[in-house]
Amino acid sequence: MIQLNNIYKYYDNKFQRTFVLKDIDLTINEGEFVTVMGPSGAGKSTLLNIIGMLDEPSEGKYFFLDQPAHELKEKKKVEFHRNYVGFIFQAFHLIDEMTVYENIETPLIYKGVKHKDRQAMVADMLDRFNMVAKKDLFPNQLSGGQQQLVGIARAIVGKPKLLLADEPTGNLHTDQGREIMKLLQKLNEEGITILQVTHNEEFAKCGKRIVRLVDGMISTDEQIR
Amino acid sequence: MFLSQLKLMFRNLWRNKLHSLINIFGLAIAVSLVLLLSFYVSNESSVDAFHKNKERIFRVHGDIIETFAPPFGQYILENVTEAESYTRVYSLSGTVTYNDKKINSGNCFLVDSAFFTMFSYPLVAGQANSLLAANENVVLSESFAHTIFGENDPIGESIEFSGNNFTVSGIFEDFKDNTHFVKPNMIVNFSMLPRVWGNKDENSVKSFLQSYGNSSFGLYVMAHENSNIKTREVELLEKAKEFYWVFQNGRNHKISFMPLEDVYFERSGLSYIGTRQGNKKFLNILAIIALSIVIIAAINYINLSITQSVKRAREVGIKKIIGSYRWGIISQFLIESTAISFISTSIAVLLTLIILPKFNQLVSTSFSFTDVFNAGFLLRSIIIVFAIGFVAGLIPSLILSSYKSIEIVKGVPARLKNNFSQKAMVVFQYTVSITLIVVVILIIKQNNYMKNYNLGFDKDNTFYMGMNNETNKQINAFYNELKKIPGVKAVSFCNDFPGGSINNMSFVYNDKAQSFDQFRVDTAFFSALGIPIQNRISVTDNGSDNQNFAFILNQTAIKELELEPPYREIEIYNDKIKISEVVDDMNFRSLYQEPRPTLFMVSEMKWASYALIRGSGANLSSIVAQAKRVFKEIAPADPLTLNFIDDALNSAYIKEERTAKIVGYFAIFAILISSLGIFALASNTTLNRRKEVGVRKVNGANFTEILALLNKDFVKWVTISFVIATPIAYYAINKWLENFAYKTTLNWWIFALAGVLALGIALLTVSWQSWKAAMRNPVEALRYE
Ligand SMILES: Nc1ncnc2c1ncn2[C@@H]1O[C@H](COP(=O)(O)OP(=O)(O)OP(=O)(O)O)[C@@H](O)[C@H]1O
Ligand SMILES: [Mg+2]
Repeated sequence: MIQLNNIYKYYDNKFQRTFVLKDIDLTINEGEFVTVMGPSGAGKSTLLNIIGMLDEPSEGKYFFLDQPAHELKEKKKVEFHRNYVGFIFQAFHLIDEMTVYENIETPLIYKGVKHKDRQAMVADMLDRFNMVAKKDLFPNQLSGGQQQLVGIARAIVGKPKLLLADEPTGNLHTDQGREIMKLLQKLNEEGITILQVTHNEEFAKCGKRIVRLVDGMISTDEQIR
Repeated sequence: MFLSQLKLMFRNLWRNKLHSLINIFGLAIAVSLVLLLSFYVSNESSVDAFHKNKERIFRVHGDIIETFAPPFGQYILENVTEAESYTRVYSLSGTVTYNDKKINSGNCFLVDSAFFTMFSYPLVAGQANSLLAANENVVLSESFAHTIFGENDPIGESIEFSGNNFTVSGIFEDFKDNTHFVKPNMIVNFSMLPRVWGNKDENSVKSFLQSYGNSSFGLYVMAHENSNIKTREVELLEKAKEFYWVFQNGRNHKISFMPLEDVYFERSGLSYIGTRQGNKKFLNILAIIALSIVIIAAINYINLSITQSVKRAREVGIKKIIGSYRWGIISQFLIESTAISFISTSIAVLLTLIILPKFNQLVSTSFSFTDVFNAGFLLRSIIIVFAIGFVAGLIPSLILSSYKSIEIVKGVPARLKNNFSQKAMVVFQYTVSITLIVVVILIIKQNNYMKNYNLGFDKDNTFYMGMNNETNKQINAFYNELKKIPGVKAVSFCNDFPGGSINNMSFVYNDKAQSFDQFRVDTAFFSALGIPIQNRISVTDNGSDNQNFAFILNQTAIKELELEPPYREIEIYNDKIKISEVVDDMNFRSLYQEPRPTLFMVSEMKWASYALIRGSGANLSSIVAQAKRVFKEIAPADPLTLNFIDDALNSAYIKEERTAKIVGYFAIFAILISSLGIFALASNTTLNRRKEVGVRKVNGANFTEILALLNKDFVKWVTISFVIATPIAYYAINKWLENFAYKTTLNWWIFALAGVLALGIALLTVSWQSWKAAMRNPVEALRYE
């Protein structure tokens, strides 16, 4: 599903070139649950953003569902975002002016889902996350854990093949974090491929495979389950 | 989708109340002004467009003369086959008597019976083709009929007007501002003119109507359908040269038929034929101002939106991540700006209602709400909604949609690049503002200059009263009573006075056609106006069987006549006339023009049109009150007209005062809205430089240094605006000063003042933001990073 070949990412400053990712080779198949770990500044987020097609590699090839993502047009990337990729962020990134319901509904609107179907799908999500009573609240009226639930609901409502989660539990208490991780595991069992970044060893073990990144290079890559 | 976007927009508006208010109301005020101005401009440009026969009605005029003698219309009808009908038009006023009621008639038109069939003035009662069938018919305006008769039916009633009885034959709707005729209260047959003037002799009435002597009547001709009457102008001129003096001796070289719709802007504004002059220049000024205001408001909208956009960057980034095309973002913001434009325009329509009375007062119109809210107004409003929505929405939407979602994800705080277009827009706003300020200052300066100009006589402390039958009959008693009032220095009777209508005298002298201002006055006239006279004037210097008079010329007259000193005698109309005195030139008319050649016929005035009263400045108001009392004692039933000479003279400058006021209002508005704009910009800049300010403060920069740092850019922009505005304003001012024969000086301080004003206001606005930034605790600022 995901294939990275000799991916480099660097930033050019006035005097020097800073490498963030160096010669990354990585293959992820459908149904995997991969955790990326590593010290701060190792390039984890950068890697995730490249895989999510929010950022572009400086060098190298990236195939997503066998399509050369490094050559894709902007429009095509949007198509991928609509249909195949869901994002979860540490900072939640909900739209403040939208209610819970609207936040979850928006990706479906972009996807062109009919009104009736949308209602059913959003209702499903609300039901699943026990948020029915909160559907008309705005993000700032929710707790962090609840906000992240909305973030996850928004990410998966369009039934993506790949879920990218950059420190989804980073802003949460351990209890809330555990709940989120349980949810991710469940989603993975249902068939969604998941790639997560975390600093938490406990949560890292929730995945099936751990990739360790040090100084922009993959140091270890182990299957744990 | 659409609805959810609107919902989102309102939530955003609500969240940023201050910005929203500035945005919406700034735009609303601008739009309402533009709506009014565009209505006025379209109304002015369609003056007389409502006449069904407008294509074939022409006003007759020469290259100099615009009015003709009574029989000339009939002559054209008989000699130009294309002519179908004609009407003469003359305007005067007098006293209307109905039962015991006496009122001033206001404008009374004297026209031919074809008037109502040629023009399409709507009637309330009566048939257009028979309204003036009988000589003694009178047609009243709706409002004047109401003034005289109240609720009673006026048709068939008899009224007296200037000693003649008339029967009301019809009612016309009050004229609106969409015609070049001033509103008449009543309209009677032209052939009644001599009788209205007081001439009862049947033979002399006839001879007046057949004589080519008096050429002061407007003449309109209607051509047959599908004919081309303009091709007959040359032939008509050749024929007229043979018998009509105004075309002889090179007085007029042309005769033309001017299409009705051109008259208003080309040549009208002759009060004695009841027409008013349109002013293309004024109209153009208004149009330019209207356009500038919209641009300024739109710029503000753009700048405010761009500034706002920092706050909305996250929304944009997230939307892109979850699957929005760039186009989706652009259309969202276009829809938003159109919606805001719609809200603003709706408010603007309401504001228009509020401003309308003030506007009417300012440009001296009398539009009613129903006049304004027509289909064209609606159409213009809709066009404005979409035009502003699109133009103002495009730039912010392009900028907003260009935000990269990766930056949002990385948590890079969105900030604006130093945006050139934003600076250019502010420079434009300030250029307009500074130009307007300069123009306003100069118009005010020119007005003051004209009002205080030494005219060669003393216009202050003298007022006039209109004379009538009664006061003329008892002119000696009237004189004595006025003279008795304490403080009255002089009482004069005259037919002409500065600031009033001045008679014109045309004659040929040494084969050269001359046109002089002629004053018919008594000897007290000179002391009443403080005109220095060397010799004692003796009214018996010249004499004929029934009239003695002294003859005085001014310097320009001497020049025109090419007389050599000593100025003893002159021969006019085969009479030798002794010149009693030559006086200096005086500006009896407005300062738009040089003094005209002037002659004074000084005689004992046994019958006069006006009484001039000069009082001492100290107790002028009590003198006026007592003069009114004297008038009422002698003529208790007659309407009284009284005005001061200086006011009458200054009324020539009302137009300029009006322009000054309008430009002034707009200047204030332009500055206000520009200030709102840079207020928003300043808040953005200080936000962007929060960290820099924090670091500098930590490193020991003091308050003033921070303030200077943040204000530097704005000072630069205003300075650039000033540099651009100066030549533009200079050009505009010179263009405008061309209107005047007497011009005030163009000082450098006018420009300096405008620049300093603009800069001061800009600094005040900006410093409010900078102040807050400079006062902020640096630790707080640095924590953002
Ligand atoms: N625009 C940029 N210019 C230069 N360097 C950059 C830029 N963006 C990111 N970097 C650098 O790239 C490196 C990797 O950043 P990245 O966010 O991927 O790290 P990370 O592993 O996610 O760290 P963390 O655990 O703290 O989130 C960092 O050292 C960062 O300074
Ligand atoms: Mg990271």
